[in-house]
Amino acid sequence: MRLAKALLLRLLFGLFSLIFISFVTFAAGEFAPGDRAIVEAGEHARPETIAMLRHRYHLDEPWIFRYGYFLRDAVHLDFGNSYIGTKQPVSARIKATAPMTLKIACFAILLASIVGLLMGTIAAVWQGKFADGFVLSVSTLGVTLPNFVLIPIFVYIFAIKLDYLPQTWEVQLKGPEYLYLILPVVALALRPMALLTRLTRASLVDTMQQEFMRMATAKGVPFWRRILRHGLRNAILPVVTAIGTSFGFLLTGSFVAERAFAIPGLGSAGIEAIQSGDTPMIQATVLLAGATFIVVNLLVDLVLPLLDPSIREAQV
Amino acid sequence: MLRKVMLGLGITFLAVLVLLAVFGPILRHSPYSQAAHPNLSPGNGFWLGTDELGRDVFARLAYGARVSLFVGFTVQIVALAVGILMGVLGTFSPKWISAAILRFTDGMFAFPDILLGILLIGVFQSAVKTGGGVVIDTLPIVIVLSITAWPSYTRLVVTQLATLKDREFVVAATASGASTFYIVTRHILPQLWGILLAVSMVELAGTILAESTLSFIGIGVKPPTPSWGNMIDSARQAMNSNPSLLLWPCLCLSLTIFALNFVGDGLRAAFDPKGR
Repeated sequence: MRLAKALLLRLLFGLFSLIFISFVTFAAGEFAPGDRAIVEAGEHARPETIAMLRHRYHLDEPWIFRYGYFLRDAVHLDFGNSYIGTKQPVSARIKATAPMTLKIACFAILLASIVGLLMGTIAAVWQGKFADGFVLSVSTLGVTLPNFVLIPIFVYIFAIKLDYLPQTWEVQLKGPEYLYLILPVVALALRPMALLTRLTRASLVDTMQQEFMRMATAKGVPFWRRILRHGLRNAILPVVTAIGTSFGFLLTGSFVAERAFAIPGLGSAGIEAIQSGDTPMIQATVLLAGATFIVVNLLVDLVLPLLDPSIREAQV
Repeated sequence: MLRKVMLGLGITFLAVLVLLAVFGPILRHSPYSQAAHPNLSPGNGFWLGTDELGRDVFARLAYGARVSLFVGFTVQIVALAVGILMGVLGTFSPKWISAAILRFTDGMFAFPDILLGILLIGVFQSAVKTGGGVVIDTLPIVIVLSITAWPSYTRLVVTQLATLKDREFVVAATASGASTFYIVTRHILPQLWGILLAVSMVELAGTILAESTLSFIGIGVKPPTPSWGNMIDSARQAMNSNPSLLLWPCLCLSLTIFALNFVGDGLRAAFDPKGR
């Protein structure tokens, strides 16, 4: 019963977060310089045309109604027409670019989780030894160094000096796509990888000091089975939560990676929109990235009780 | 011991950086104008050589330090002031005000990383003009990063106040007739300066990083005004002809962030009574 209440509260908080970011995104558009109707009709349009457009975009109604329409359209992924160029619907641009960003982010989070868990476990098992020190110092570098410092270094080493990998995306790919994705995915994964490594290590070191681990040793459970089934099984919960939070940072990190590698994704489209002042496209990008972040973290929190019976029973 | 050495090294590095930011850009050449042939190697009258457009790399690096430090310190001062005020109001004001403040703070955390900054810069940038010294050129980014920086201070202050406000010395002060304002400013806040200072060093690193990130992706400090972020971006684009241009801005930015983290760590240990 208490679990149901906790899950409901979590759900409500997720909903509140979604409403908050949608409202801020909407408000930013409201206060943005430039009248949407004039932008669409052109500077020299007849007053009747402008009046008609104002009516179409509900600019003659109170803002609270406009927020309602904005929400309704956003749920249907309709963000209006772009201000720029051929004034295409924003949704078309998003459908063309979002899959690429999602693909890179998913590969990156997969890589970060696997390597992070592995390195963290190694560091915790050989705690205080050379392997531990090495993993800790490398992960400190990974947490501190920004990815736009690491990206040029990687490009210089692997694309220019060694010439193993392509330097940037091209309109006509000269090889299999995965070759072009390796550097961006690795660059994007490094920071979450380092965070997850440190967290896994800390959590596993904590777990290994507990009574049941000594109990397992005493009754003769083999070493690796003890680490994996008894230790990691209990240590993994905060790591799963952190995988959720780092997914959000990947979405903003992809702005950097996509710009640096000229990848045609949502990040590049967002930057282009910002540079040309294309408000609907900016709103769509921010709202999608923010909503994904909130929903992923909500799902993670809702799934945690399935992983850990102790949460199911003793939830606050 | 190691922590103290790192604290000392960090403070020394930051002091040098401040000197560089203040005097560097006026020392030799202008950071803006083409002073010589492009891509000169260090020496030749230019300490760090010239960039792909023939501008003095040292002057640009120093001006980048000025931009980073100015943005970082201004944003942190604003964020500290707003964050503390909101934290105190969120704890001591009537329920309907404090609940609104705390929910709003929670909501701000729903935006991952620099996403809110991207939204605000994107929508409002056409309203700003650039091209007039460090204050004007960085004004939009200072405003945007201040808006995104204060909630973490509010959260910190609220959690600290929650444990402090029921302690004996507060109860005693209340009993002797002190007003809430007096208690907060004279008894409670002085307890928090240490931890706030330590945290602000790490937050400062975050702000400098956010500014460089926005400048790197081309929406923060815009060329020709140099910032480490846009220097890394233009060096990256000129990488095939002159990769050595990457070295200095990357090194300065990384060392600054390391130094601030070390100083933050060291200060936290120094102010934590349990550590003594």
